Amino acid sequence: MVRFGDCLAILLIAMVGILLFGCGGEGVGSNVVSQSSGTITAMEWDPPAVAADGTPMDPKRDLDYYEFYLRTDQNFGDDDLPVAQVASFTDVLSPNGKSFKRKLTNEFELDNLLPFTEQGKQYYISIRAVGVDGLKSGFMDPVAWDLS
Amino acid sequence: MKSKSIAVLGILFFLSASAHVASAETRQLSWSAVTTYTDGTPIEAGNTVHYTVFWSNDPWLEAETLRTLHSSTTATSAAFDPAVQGMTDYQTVYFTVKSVLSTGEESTLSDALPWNPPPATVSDGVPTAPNTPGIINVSTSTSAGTWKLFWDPVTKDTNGNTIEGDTVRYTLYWTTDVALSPASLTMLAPAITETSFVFDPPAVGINGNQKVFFTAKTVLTTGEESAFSAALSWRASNKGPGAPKNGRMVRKNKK
Repeated sequence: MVRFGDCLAILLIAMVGILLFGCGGEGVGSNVVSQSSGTITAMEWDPPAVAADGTPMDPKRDLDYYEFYLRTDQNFGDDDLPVAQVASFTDVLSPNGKSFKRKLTNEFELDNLLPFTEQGKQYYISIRAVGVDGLKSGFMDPVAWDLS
Repeated sequence: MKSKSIAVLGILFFLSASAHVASAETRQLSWSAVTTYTDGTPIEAGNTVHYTVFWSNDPWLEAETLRTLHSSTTATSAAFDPAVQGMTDYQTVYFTVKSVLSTGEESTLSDALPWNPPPATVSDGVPTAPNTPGIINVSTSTSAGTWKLFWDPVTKDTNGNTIEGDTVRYTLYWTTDVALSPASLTMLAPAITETSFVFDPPAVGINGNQKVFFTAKTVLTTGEESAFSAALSWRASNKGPGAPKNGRMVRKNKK
């Protein structure tokens, strides 16, 4: 038996949740995101499916890792040094529990980059894919990251 | 008559010559043909004499120590390889021969002929093959990048002996054949002394995105060569991967 008072309490909690998590400024998919308490900011991307010359490429086989670059402007270049790197895939246990399936990495939590930032500034992030042969891709179009 | 003939055969022969060198590895043992019984009576025409040759480390030629060198030959010599026979270095061996007539009559064993086998020839092993090469990208300045193959130096032969007084060189090959068939191999570097080699894939005929296998062999100045190393599988690059796209920010609840 659910009392009216219980329903009211559930509704109140739900509204607080919406206020906290749903009204934090820019929505999912925006290129400018600021930090908000109770949430983490991550960056997603589409792994490359072709080589730099346009020939088909299997990212599960040919990619090794991604490099993350951080600047306060969008002028990324070969002289920049990566601040982080992450493997291009993870091995996920199959439902049968007997084998692993290779899952491409396409997300990175930006909290990992905070040690390289100053609060109150706006940054741009770019990534490069690095193949198993060591060759690097060009820079992904920069994504703004607002820490103000 | 029959008992007489058996006794005669027992002393019919002796090794007429000691072993002598017939080739680098083979020795030849010979003995006098048996033509008479012990009482000097000639063996009848049509009664063939066969010889069985034994050797032993036992000077008393105890039956259980005899090892057959040749069985039932009508020739009066037999070639043998001491190493194949297992005649241990520096341990005296004793040869003996028994005659057997086609009628079934047998002699006793001849007196033992002692012989000291020569030391076994210590054959030099061929050099060992290099380990599987590794490969790293050393430059991205060219379209396919510049690459360095590397491997560990070879210092020993297949017998485990250190290679001395000889220059160790390495010859590198590439192929599209995982079996490394000789006809498919393309030489990448001929007899170099270094343990690495830098190359530009298009310059050596490797096309973009082509899967190839690298292998190496050790070559001595004496001409001795090792087997091929295990193959390194590699795919020539096509200017590296394309850039990731569609970067976007997302916000997630903390776990």
